[in-house]
Amino acid sequence: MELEHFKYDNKIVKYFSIATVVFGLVGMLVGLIIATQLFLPELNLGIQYTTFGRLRPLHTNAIIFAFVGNAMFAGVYYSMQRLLKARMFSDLLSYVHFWGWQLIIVAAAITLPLGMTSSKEYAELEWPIDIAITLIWVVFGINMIGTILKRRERHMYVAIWFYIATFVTVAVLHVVNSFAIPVTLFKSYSWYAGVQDALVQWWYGHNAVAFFLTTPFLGLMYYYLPKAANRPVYSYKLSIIHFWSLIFIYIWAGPHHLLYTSLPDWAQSLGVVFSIMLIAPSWGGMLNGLLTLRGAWDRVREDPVLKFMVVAVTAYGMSTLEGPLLSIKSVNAIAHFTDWIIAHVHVGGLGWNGFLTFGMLYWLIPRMWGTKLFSTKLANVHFWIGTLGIIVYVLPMYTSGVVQSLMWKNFNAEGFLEYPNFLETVTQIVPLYMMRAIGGLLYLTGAVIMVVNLVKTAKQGTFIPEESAEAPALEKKKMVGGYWHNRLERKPVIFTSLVLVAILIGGVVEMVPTFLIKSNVPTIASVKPYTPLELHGRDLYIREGCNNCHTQMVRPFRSETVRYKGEYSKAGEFVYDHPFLWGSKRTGPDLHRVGGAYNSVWHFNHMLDPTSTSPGSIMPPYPWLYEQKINIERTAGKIKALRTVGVPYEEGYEDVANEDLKEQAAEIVADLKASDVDIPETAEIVALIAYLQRLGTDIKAEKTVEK
Amino acid sequence: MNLLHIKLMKKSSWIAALLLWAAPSARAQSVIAGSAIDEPTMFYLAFGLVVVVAILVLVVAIYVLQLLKIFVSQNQTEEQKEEEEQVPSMFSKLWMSWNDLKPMEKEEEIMLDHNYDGIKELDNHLPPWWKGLFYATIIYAVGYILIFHVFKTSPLQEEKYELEIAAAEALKTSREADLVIDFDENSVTETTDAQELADGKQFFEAQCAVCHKSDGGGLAGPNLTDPYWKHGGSMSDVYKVIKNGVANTAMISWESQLNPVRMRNVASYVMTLQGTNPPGALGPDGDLYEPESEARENEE
Repeated sequence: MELEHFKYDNKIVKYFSIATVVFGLVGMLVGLIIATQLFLPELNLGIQYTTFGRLRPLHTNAIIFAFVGNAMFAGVYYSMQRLLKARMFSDLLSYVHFWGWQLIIVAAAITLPLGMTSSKEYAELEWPIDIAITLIWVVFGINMIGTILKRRERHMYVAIWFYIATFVTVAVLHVVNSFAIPVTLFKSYSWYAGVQDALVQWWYGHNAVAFFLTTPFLGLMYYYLPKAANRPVYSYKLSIIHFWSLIFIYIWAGPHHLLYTSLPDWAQSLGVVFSIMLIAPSWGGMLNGLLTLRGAWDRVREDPVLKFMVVAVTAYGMSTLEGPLLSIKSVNAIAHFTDWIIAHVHVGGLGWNGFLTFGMLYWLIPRMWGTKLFSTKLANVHFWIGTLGIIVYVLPMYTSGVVQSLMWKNFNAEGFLEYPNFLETVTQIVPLYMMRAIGGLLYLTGAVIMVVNLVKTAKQGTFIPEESAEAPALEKKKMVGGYWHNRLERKPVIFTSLVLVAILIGGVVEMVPTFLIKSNVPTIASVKPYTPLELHGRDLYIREGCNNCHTQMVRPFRSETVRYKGEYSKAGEFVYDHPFLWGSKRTGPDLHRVGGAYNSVWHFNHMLDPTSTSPGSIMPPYPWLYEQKINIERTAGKIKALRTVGVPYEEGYEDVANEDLKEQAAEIVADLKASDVDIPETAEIVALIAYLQRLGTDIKAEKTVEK
Repeated sequence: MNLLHIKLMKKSSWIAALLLWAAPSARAQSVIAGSAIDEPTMFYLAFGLVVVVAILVLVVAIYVLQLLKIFVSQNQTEEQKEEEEQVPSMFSKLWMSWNDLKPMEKEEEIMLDHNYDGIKELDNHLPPWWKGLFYATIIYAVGYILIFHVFKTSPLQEEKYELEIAAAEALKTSREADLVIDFDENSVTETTDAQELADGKQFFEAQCAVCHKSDGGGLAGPNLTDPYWKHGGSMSDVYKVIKNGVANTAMISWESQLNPVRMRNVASYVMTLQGTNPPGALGPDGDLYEPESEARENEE
């Protein structure tokens, strides 16, 4: 057999590695800033682009897509070439992928602070960027599949399976969830409404965690851990079983983000049971990682790369056990909407993704620069400071989550809420927010130490842009026989198709009935579409990212219906909500029943200076809402777009909508004037007040009708 | 002995970290219980302390055991040590069987002919406990669906909510059965009982002060210390505002949260604020209320 000579492309790995480090620091820094804003709201410096509501999506997107995303690509481009004994399919595609992805990140960093957001978590980017993501993702896919097809290794290694699953599933998730009707270049409305939008969003949100933060990193673990430990992978069988069960079961578990909401019970129950069944498949990955280290534990004590990886894999195991436990409804009733969830995702994010990335970089950089790590001691310092950072971050968050939740639920002996004022439950946990920020600062410090170490390492070596390798070409003749899965491993197209089937089943079973069977979302006659002014207000609510701190979902608990003074939220109330705004975290109180609870001047004063009406509030002031004007020329476009996705505005209403808008604005302005407050009718605050006063009131109208 | 010192240092850093965490959680505990330490809190604190002490004792015991081991092994001869190593401990036996581990020496027997960029794979069995865990979760899943959706023997969220509300209603009824309420919103009169007024004051400062300021001078809500009222200034008027709230304002109805006696306490306390004239109070808002004029009207 003739040996073929070829070269591995290290330059693309270098590019992605640099992007990983740079965006990692940026993402962590933004995280630290918003963590600090929670006890020091003035930290936005009075600027509208730097409020918590706008920076929080920037933090999550930067960490997920810029830091972890670039780390994934760096790791994949390095390992895939070597595992398949082939250079990447096309250098051009590699660099289109790289620069395209970085441009998307820059676009995100510009648009999110400007308030251009779809409001759907981890999918906040507006439609033109969504299209760009799709294109670049396809470029990545073609490059990957092309490389697989021209491989010189007959069978695909387990890491490659995980890369394939990542590509296929993220493509499906992104396209389905991003369906929207554009209104302007940077404004769109979700194609789906209310309960259905929520189901699609959390099918996406949950599986973004699964297939962007988990499967690619399991793939990376399967390459870099045995490499660094120089040990054989513990069990091939375990790889097979846990791979297929993981990708099949994961996709079903999305509804566990919507327990005790208006989502139909059957869908909630599917979310619960599939989450529980996910424990073993997830742990399969952890076991295969940790048991691969059998016989190498003495080296774990010395080698920082292995140390990082061991903690990463352990953190993965802990958070994938915690996740299913949080999906048990009685646990979820306590943890949901609280800081417990923040702690949970940071065990995964800081521990699993962060530490695995660090371990990988400490292993990769010296190899690509043909040298040794500049300082093992510094790497050890990073390891300990990072670990301490995680602990100091998560322990206060677990505590504050449980404390606040119990305060929300606590009834006194007389049968009344012990803490009827929501603010009381916030001020009590502020010290824990401070501790959390210290944890974040420690973690960031560790990352800075790593950057210094890696730069010094690169400086003492010389970069090897092309690495020579040789291997025989695959013979054309057909191979027969072998273990069934072994046969599958040499058929990439069939393998990819099977992956697609496996990940589609869960989504289809949950979504199709929710969309088609009417009884899943019982209609309520008194629920009407938003008025034009309310629509403008709702878009401001989205622009300011209010949904990052306020939920709109009163759950069926006595402690919530008493606190929020109304019925618990019903599925039929959200049928015109494109997108849904249920939120996932209650840093401030729920707002679904806020309509009519306060007078307009209260809202006026509150948004101008929250502490004037609520002393001790950690919400920032929104003075720009009083100076900026809504653009009523956009009204017609909004109405038309919403009619396209099924909101029953009458034909031609867009032409007269602004008359209604002005009339409603005049009423609010008159109401404010009665309290000696002067504001122009087109001021943004007027629209926002109109929206807030409408929230959750439709169902009250029905009550009046019944009487 | 150097090794010992390092170990000790590691231990002490853990204890420091533990203390660091314990401080805010202790604070959190006192938060739940309110500022004054009452009896149940003392019980929980004492109980918590006992648990912490028990854990510490356990940690120390394990540590001492470890130390003993080290000392013993230092005194052992080489032969003795080898002998001990040959006999696997109870734990390692369990570990081997639960994971179905192959001894390291026999690893070559299960080495597959895979070689991916130097990475080899072993053909180990699935760990039996892991398989058991997987089966158990599948059984749980089937059971869960059967219980909630097929046999429907356990309530789903709506029904559970109804049950929760019913239980609270029942409790409220039984509680109010003991309560003697000999007034309604029209006939209510101010209480002069010091204890009841103190209760009203405490509630006012905890809840009403957010909008009305703790001295009643007014913030987002109106001044309650002057004779100008938006909804009337008689005891009955004030009681009604507390009980029913004022539509479209931040003044909510407290009826669902306070029983009639406590609403009377709060209203009575508000009445005592009249004429206190605190510094920084808001200006007059609403109509001047003169108790005599109403009395006259009633006479007519």
